[in-house]
Parts: sequence; C-alpha cells; structure tokens
Amino acid sequence: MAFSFSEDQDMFRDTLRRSLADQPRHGDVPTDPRDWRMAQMGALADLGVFAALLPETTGGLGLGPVEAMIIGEELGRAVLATPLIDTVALTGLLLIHAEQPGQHCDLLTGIIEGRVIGAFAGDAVLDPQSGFVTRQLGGSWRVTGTAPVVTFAPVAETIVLVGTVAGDTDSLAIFAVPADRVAHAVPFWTIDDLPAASIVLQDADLGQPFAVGAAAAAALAQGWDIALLMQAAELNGLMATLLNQTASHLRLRKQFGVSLSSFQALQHRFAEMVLAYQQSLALTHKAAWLFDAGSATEHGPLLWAMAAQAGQASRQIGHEAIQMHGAMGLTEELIVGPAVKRIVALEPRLGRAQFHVDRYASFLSSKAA
Amino acid sequence: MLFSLTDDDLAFREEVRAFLAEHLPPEWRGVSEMSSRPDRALIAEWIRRLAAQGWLTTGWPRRYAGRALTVTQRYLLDVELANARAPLLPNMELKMVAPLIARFGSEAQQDYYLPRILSGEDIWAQGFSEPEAGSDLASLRTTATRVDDGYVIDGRKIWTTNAHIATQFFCLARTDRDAVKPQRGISMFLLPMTTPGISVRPIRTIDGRHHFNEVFLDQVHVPSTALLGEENKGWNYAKALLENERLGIADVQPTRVLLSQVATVVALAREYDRPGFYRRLAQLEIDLESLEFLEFRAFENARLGTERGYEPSLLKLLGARVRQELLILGREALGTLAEAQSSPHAPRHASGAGEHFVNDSLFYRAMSIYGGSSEIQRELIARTVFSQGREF
Repeated sequence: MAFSFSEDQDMFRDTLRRSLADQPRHGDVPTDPRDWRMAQMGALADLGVFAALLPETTGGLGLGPVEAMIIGEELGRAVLATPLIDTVALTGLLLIHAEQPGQHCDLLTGIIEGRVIGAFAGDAVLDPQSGFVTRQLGGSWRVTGTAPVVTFAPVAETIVLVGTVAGDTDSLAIFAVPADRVAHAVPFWTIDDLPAASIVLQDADLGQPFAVGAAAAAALAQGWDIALLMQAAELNGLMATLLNQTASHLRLRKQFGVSLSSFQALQHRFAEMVLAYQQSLALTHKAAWLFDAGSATEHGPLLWAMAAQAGQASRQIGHEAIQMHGAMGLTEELIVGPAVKRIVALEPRLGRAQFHVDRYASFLSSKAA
Repeated sequence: MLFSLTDDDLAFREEVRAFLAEHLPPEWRGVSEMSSRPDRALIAEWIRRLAAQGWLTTGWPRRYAGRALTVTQRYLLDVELANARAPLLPNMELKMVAPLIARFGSEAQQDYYLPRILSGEDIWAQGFSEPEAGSDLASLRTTATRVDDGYVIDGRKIWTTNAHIATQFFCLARTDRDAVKPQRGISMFLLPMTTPGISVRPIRTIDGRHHFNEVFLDQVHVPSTALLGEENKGWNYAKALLENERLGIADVQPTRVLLSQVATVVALAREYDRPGFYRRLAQLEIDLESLEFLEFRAFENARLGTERGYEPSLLKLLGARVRQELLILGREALGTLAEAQSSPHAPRHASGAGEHFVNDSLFYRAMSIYGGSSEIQRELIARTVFSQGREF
C-alpha cells in the first residue's frame, strides 16, 4: 500500500525527533533583529534538513514531499521556529528553476551547509493586488510596491521577490535579489521572535527576473506547494505537542479533589481537538502522498483543503490548550504559550485558512459552471 | 488517481467497472437518491448480482467466502458503486448481521441465515434500545427465561428500524438478573419476526416517513438454537457489532453522492446567495475529504492491529456532522422551494430534491443519536486518550 511510510522515512523521522528533542529551544534574543542567529542552524544542516529537498545536482539529497512533510512536522513538535521554509522551499527550490543552471550554485551550497538564509517577499502569489508591480524597461526591470512583513529579511543573503507583470496580472515575475540591494525600513521582531522587515520599492532597478510567466508558475508549483505542505505539517507538529501537553495536564491537575480529565465538559472539548487534529493530519498525509506520486491535478485542491484545515485546527487547538491550562497557558513558562505564538505567526504566512477555503469554493463553483 | 494502487488493485477496479457497465441497468442508477425508498425486489436482485461476483462475503466462513477482498479492494468497490450511483446496499444485513453471524453463529445458524442474506430475501431488525435503555443500553429490562426446550422472551424494544417489513429479528435480553455487572447477564437471540407473541407498533417521525417501530415481546417462546453463541455473552457480541457498525457507520460513500447533489442545488441558487453557499460547500467537502482518508486509514489500522481505539468514534462523530450539515445546506439552497415539495410549478431541479432535503435533513438528526450518540463518542475519545496515555 502506498499510504504508509517507508522504513527509510520512519528512520529519518526518528532521527529528527531524537535530535531535535536535544536542541535547546531558547537562545538569547538580541536587541537588534539584524543580530539574530539561530543556534541550531549547524545542527539542522548536519541532520540534512537543508539539503533534503534540493536536487542531487546541486549537492542536495533529492528527497520529496513526504520527507518535506516529515521535516515540517518534527520542527513543529519541537516548537522550533526556523528559516527552513523560506530558505529551502521559497528560495532554493525556486532558484533551481533559474534560466541558467549553475547561476546560483554558491547560494545553494550555502543553503545546504546552513550558512545562508533566504527570505521571500511573495504577497503577489496570494493576491495580485498586493505586493509588487514589475515593468520591463529596455534591458532592465523596474519594481514598485510594498511588502509589509518579510520574515528573515534583516538576516537573509538573498531575497526572492515576486511581482505581477504590469498590464498582465495573471503573469508573475520572480527576482532573486542580494539583500543589500533592497533598501528596507527599520527591522522588527515578529511575535514568534523572528527578525523581519518591510520592503518598500519605488521604481527600483532589480535587473532581470529569473523566471517570468509560465516559467514563474512552474517554479512556484514546486517551491510554493512544498512550502504549503511543510507549513501544514509544522502546524500538525505544533498541534501534537499541544495535545500531548494538554492531555497530561488534564490527567495530572486536580481541582475539587479530582483530576480535570474527569470533567465531561473538558472531555468533550478535548475530543473535538483530537478530531480537528486527526482531520488535519489525514489531509496533510493524503496531499503529501499524492504530491509524491506526481499527481498535480489532484494534489492542487487537496493542498488548499489541507491548508484550510491545518489553519483552523491549529487555531482551535491553540486556544483550547490555553483555556484548559488556565492562566499558566498565558505564560512563556510552559510550551503552550510559545507554541500558540508560533501558530498565530505561521498560519497566515501562506494564506489564512479562510483564504484557502475561499479558493476551494471558487474551484467548486468554476467546476459547476 | 486517488491512490497509488498495485496492479492487482487496478485490475480489480477495472473488473468492477466492467461489471457495472454490464450489470447495472441505467434505470437503476440513482434510485436510492429518489424521495421514495427503492423497491425491495430491485435491491434483492442487486445483492444477488454482487454476491455472484463473490464481493460481499469477505471474512465469512470459508465455505461461503467468494473472494477475500483486501481493505483497499473493498474501499474501491464502495467508491465505484457510489460513483456509478448504484442502489445503496442495506448495511443492516450485509455489514452488521452477516459479519455477526459469520463470527459468532453456530454452523446451523450460518447455513440457514447467511444464504438468505445473500439472496436478499431477509430483512433484519435490531432489537437493542428500550424505553428505559437508550445510550445506557446495559440497563435493558427485556428478559429471556430458560424453559425446558428453550427460552421465553418478555419485554419491549423501541426505535426498531424496519420492524414493520423485517422477516428476522435479533435482540438482546437479560438471562441473568444476578450477574455481578449488568453487562454480564445479557444474551443475544435470533428469531423470525413471525414468532407468536411479537407485535409491532409503528412510530411516525417528523420526516413523515415510517422507519421506526416499537416491538412488544409477549411470552415469545424460542428454541435454544435461537441463542447466538454463549449465554450471557450477548454484550460482547453487541460490542463487536457496534464496533463493526461504527467503522462503517460514517457511511461515507452515500455522503459523497449527497455532496454532488447539494452542489447541483447550490449551483442553481440565487446569485447573491451563491458565494456564501459555496464557502460552506467547500468547508464540507474539505471535511469529507478528511473523513474519507480517516475511514480508509481506520480500516488499514484495524487490519494491521495498529489502531488507537477511538477511530470508530472519530468517524461516527465527523460522519454525522458532515451528513447533517450537507442536508441543511441543500435545504437552505433550495430556499422556500424546499417546502414546495410537490408543486407542479416547482422548477425541475427542485422537484423531488425538495422533499429529499427537507425530509432527510429532519430524519438524519438521528445520525448523531443512533449507534452511540455524538456525546457518547466524544466521551469515548477522551477516555481512550486519558487512559492510554499514548502520545499523539
């Protein structure tokens, strides 16, 4: 049966889970976001997390969607906020579609070794009305627009920037720009303690895009879809940790002389959390396996279904976990608080749950038309 | 392609498709979606045609087993039947009673009852619930008293689906009033509905149709061969049956068919209503997608022995929710047309559909009650998690 993990995949998961459990979660947070360094970058690179999804021709391991899902889920379980999705899926996997292969060799090597971070300014993928407008002017391209929150921009080496092509909102152009060429406003922190910045461009000369139109769509079909999958998987991992933590709290915590788990109101709400999580996990697994089988027409809508459910379920489970922990759930002392903050920050990055439901709805109505 | 199937699976699916093309007459397609219940003779003939392929007897004693279908193949069969809008197969006989008798029945019981199920001639009614024993089934009061040549059963059963058309009856009755736990004093009996002393009172439901009955058992004398398995083990058999029922009780494929019917009605709704309806439809299709995969995995896990224990409860809870919400959406999308059931002026898409959505949206409130209410399922899920202490 194809809907099961191979032995290699199980081993990969076990290794990741063990190694990530040993990683210290909290580093010292510097005052200036530009000084942010992730203590675990080297360790993650040693585990092959950055190499896993990049093709072997670039020095990667050439693994697929199922492994992408496994990585995402384990990072979520460990409540580890990493630049993995931005760097590997939304920078590395997009760049391998560059017109001249080899053009970005050094960058890809840097990514694989855990030295280089990528950032992604791609609001235009979600909504052509927001994000950047690009215009070809003789030999160069001019870009205008604002990306209000670009996570990792202050520490990235390269920023991948997506804009619509002026006069043709269906067509996208993707640029890879050295970070120092994109002037950005004052850097800030996101609520999950990651460095971010706004990027504001006015008729900026960004040279040539590395993919336009059909080529851009093809690049995004890989990178963006893998990013969506990894994000849902990370949310699943976060949910699993919250469920484990909440189940053990309900069992151990006593009030009125009895364990909280004996109260029916809590039992029923907990059961709904389990259901929401299992639904999300089911859709993520199904999407990953179909994606892996190369069934693009089937996995497309399924990815939206997955993203919608992962978003809704993680929000529900996060808020319920806080409620069931009482005031302790609001602190940074338990894993609950940081996990919920990560969910709140992560969930909208590639489109909110409602966005994906709507996209699914327009797919259904266009099918009926 | 939904699944990466093996060559055997693909060949099986082709076989099913070829069979459907040849043996499912066009006029039979969609009969179960109509407002009226399909003709029993048609269903019996449909069961016989499928049985002739050996597809209905997986897990039966070897002398009956036509083909041992894998979990995947059974799933594929369900999907293909639903896609072809084949008449719905009766779950009570094929998915509940037959596996029960195949597993716990004596050879004589198997030889008598199983062929009658496969020929479609028997309709079964289940006598579990009583006026004083609903969700708390173990408190049932119907008694079976041992006499020389068998038992005498006395009591009342209620919410008995199809008792008015059934030919056979299986019921739980108390055989030991002094058992340490009420569960340990219950036995299960199989008897013809024509046994003297059985009388049936119809109970009308708000959908205007006749599903339920009250069954009175007044000095019903049965031979000792009417006992299923061992005396006082009835609770175990009922549990096995409900487990069995719950894995299939989400009844996913008919819900898939319902979804496409609702989509048709939504597409014809008033324009300003449509975006809102599509959003709800999308949400329900997302839920259904997850339900289908959860069901598939639950069967896989049951086969591999890797279940967590609460899978049937998840399926039941979600299956009922999706079915009920879809029916409400269909009813709402039809608007007032839903009530104009048989108006000659109703547009074509609404005629029949209106009756269907209004009545079913009422009747299927039952889905979160029967087979263990949603509240019971939630409690089972939570208790399983808390008692096992297994990690997610």
